[in-house]
Amino acid sequence: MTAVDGETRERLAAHVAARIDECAPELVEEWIDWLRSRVGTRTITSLPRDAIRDHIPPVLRSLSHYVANPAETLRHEMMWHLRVHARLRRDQGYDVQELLAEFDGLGHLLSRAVLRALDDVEDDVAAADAVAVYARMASGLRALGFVTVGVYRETETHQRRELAERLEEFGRAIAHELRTPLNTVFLGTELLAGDDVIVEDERRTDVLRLIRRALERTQGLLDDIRLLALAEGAQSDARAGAVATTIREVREELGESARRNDVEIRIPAEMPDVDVETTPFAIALVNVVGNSIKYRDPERSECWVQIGVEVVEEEWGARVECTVSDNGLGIPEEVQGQVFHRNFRAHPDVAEGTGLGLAITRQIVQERGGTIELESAPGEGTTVTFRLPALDPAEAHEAMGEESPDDLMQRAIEETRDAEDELDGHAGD
Amino acid sequence: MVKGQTPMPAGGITATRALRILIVEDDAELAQMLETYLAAHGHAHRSVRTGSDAIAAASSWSPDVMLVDIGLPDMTGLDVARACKEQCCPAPLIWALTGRQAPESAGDALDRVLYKPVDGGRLEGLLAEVSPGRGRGR
Repeated sequence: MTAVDGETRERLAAHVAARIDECAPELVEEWIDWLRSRVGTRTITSLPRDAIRDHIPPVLRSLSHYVANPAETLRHEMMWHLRVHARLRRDQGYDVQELLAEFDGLGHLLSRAVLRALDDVEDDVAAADAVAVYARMASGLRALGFVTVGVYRETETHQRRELAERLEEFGRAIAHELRTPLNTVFLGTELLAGDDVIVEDERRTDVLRLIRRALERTQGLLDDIRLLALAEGAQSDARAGAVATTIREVREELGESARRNDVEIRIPAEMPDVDVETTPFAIALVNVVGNSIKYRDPERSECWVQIGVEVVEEEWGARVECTVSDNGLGIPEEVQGQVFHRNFRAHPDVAEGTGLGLAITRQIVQERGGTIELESAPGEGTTVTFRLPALDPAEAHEAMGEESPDDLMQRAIEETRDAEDELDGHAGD
Repeated sequence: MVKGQTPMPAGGITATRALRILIVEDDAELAQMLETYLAAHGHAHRSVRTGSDAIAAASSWSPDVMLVDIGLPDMTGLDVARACKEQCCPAPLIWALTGRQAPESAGDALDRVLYKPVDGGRLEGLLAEVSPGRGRGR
């Protein structure tokens, strides 16, 4: 073991940095291979390969620069790439633990690169120098973690603010929407109770009818408020249940409204034995079927809405596809593109509402990685198809259960061990 | 909600108090209820649902008062008020009916802003102060 000498250490650091630089593209490919093995096993549903190739090599080059020049702070450029990378992964729905585990994997690959670089050095390397150089790299790696966690924390703050704004806007919209039917009821009751005017019998019936419709609209608004509350709750409610049960429950829930409006809700006799996250599925179905009831075609002698369900295989796993077809009014072609927009109503004359239903539905479905589409022919009817992830009934309950902090810790330890094993296995290839 | 402070005309409605009132409201039920209410109080009324129809009716029918909803499908009630004040001679009194806060920069175009839900007694009280077939000024 040679004596510790500052100049030797800096030479060693420069050497290691140069090696990291050299093998950066190769390291990134190795990392991508390793990440690929995690796809579908954790939160990963797809690998943004190109984005990683864009953002990670500059991060590694910056890291190597830091190893050679620890007095300098980490470069802005590196921060920028890390932030873009973290935002991208976050928007894809990755959780922060997964990202940190991934960087851990990258750290492991880097350690091996450092070891190889040390092997290349012809002279003996002082253990203290080797440790010091390694420590610089480790410190740089930790910075990757800090930036990543920071991006996620910003997101949380941002989401909280967004939620507050959404609630405020919704409150305003609801208050506004409620004032109009309230006004109708106020005027109507004043008329009926009025001492100063006499309302003829024929008119009284009209007034009562208008009051009733205004009250029905108020009820519709309350349904929308409830829906919104459910939608917010759905973000943390991940209970699973059989799709057939969920569909039957929705039919039950809408039964009264369907009977009142003479609409038949048809469901298949046989349904696939598969589980779904019940809350988002039920919200989507209630909304879509509710629309079919609201926008029934009064000219038809028989109004119906048919629910269909099947399991389809997609690239990243099985999905439950639910199809809701009706023989209702349909939606004019020129406005079909707007049905998922907030506050849009295709038939404001026919039934009342805030126009939030489908917008909320789409948001919930997309947050679950699902899709929703609509086809409609005016005068014929509308078909809405939405897909949500299918859960295996046997595994679902376990996977959906809440993990205690101890479980999480245990899982993290196991995953780290797995990651090391995977990487070691990879090294032996 | 302030109950109408102006006493209701005693002994029912007399023909001399009858006003021509144009209702500009896209909500069908409220529009119909306003019509019924105004008719029961002896006023002549017409009802339109869009801003463009309102502007046309204002010049062809010459109302004394326009009750204008602020959120109309084709334009704002404020736009309607400006257009009517500009083109109609005599200009009708224009009262906004709004579920939200007062429209910004309401300016001279709006003679009054009423917040939904509008109390019928208050509305009738305010209408009682308007002279039928009133002159050019306010």
